[in-house]
Amino acid sequence: MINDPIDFSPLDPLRDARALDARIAAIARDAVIPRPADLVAELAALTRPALAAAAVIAALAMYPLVHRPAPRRVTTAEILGVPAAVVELARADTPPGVVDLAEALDAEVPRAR
Amino acid sequence: MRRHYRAAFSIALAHSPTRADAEDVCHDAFLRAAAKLRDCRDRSRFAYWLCAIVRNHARNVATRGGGHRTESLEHETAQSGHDPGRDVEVRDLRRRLFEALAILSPVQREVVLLHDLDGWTHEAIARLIGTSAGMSRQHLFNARRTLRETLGQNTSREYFS
Repeated sequence: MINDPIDFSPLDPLRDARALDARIAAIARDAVIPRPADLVAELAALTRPALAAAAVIAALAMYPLVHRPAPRRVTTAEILGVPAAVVELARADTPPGVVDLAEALDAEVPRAR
Repeated sequence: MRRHYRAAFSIALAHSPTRADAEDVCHDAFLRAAAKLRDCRDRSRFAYWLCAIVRNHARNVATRGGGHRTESLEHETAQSGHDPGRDVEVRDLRRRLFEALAILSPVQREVVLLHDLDGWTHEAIARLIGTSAGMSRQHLFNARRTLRETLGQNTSREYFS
């Protein structure tokens, strides 16, 4: 008794031949002509990665333009070759001492032996 | 498509709350299969390949909580075509079968429907659902016992003959 199969014939989809034909025809129709929802999903699936890739490329291309380092200003002292230590002493509010001046010059100018 | 529809429907029904939902799952799964037909390199395994697509889709729909297209099974038509009295009987049997199937686990439903509705062997069922033939037999035994207890002794094969 327990080994006898359960009769599922009321659930058999092949029981109603007409309904089955209609179902199969609908599947065949939709397989040839995608439904609008499927078409949109397909397009979205195609465009999303393409848009993402384009956005990444654009961001990478824009970065050097936006974050370009400002050009360093060249001072007149540098052009004339005045040592930086001397320039700092000249900019100071207080007059430099003899020792400071000597050290600044010593740092920049090679001493004659 | 017609040859494999019953097996596909059995699998979809095992994971769907209503017959109409199972039909929707079959519809969508067949479309997916048609779109990916080139992926099926081994034509001898076409039935397994197709049923695996149906199974994955049915489980995804069930996980997402999709479906529930029809309000209830009682409103589904039986459509014998010429005998309204028999239509009522079949509809009632259909409702009782659904109620009994709802008690089973999805795997038990898959096994009992594939075996008793579409005539699959335990080896074939085991290959599809990823278990052993022995476990498939166990699922079938438990499913039949539960269904018989739920349906009672009145639902017998000669009823439909």
